[in-house]
Amino acid sequence: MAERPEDLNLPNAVITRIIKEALPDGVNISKEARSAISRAASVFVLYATSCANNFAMKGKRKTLNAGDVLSAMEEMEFQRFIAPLKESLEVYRREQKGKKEARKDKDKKADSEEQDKSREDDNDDDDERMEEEEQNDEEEVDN
Amino acid sequence: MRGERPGPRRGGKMAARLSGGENRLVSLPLSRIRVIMKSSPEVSSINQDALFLTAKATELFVQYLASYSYKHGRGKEKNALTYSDLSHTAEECETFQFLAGISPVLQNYTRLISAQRIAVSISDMPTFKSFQLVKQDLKKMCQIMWLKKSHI
Repeated sequence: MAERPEDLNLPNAVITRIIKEALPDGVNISKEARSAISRAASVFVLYATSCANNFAMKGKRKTLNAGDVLSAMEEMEFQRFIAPLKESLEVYRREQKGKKEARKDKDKKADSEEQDKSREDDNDDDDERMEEEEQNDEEEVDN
Repeated sequence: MRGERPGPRRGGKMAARLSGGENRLVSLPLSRIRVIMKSSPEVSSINQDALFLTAKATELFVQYLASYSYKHGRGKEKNALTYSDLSHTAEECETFQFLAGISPVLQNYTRLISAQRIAVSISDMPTFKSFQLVKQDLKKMCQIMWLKKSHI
């Protein structure tokens, strides 16, 4: 749950990188523009979630699924996202499947170690990446 | 020096690198996207595919918003993307209008209203059209806030 307002923020470094990818090289992005885009992205998530949830409710389902999100994009008039989203979803599913199988193999070798890892993966994976961007040096020293 | 971590962390890291590396499918943190999605009170659970798609869609949205605003904005002459290019987009482009009433609120939201309340009011809106009503309320609130504040 979001307990503090900051919990709704997305990591600045990642947002900046995504913006830069979309613009020609050398375009200067003002600080206010970055922060506005970042907040707009949070609003987008909430808006999409709300739309997707309506589709789930209509289908009498409690869990949001991929179809709900895609329907939400259409409803929000972001049809242009649907094709690329479907493509990446396919790749993502394949990747996840590969990971699962790799995990099974490892399980046989080192049962207890793997448990530690998967627990860590859940919590760390994303946070770690954020830290990586913003405070690389610090992290190294800590370890 | 990087990647030379001792212990089990190193293993986890390597696995993450191999599966994505520089060409990760999605660069926004899924855990954070999940927190934002869950701040919507009526959402009970989200499956992994839906979470991934929302994160990916948000990235596409960020790119679209940035490139649209740059192309249609004035900053182009100066090789810059500015806040006014963005607010112009939110006001002029229908697809981005859902941002219009809200972005000033978000500019101030840490001080003025709790995120939870924004989340509730947004999730109350079933469609784009009903959004307009709440938007107007938010706009009024914004105006009051603007009067009290000298700058963004």
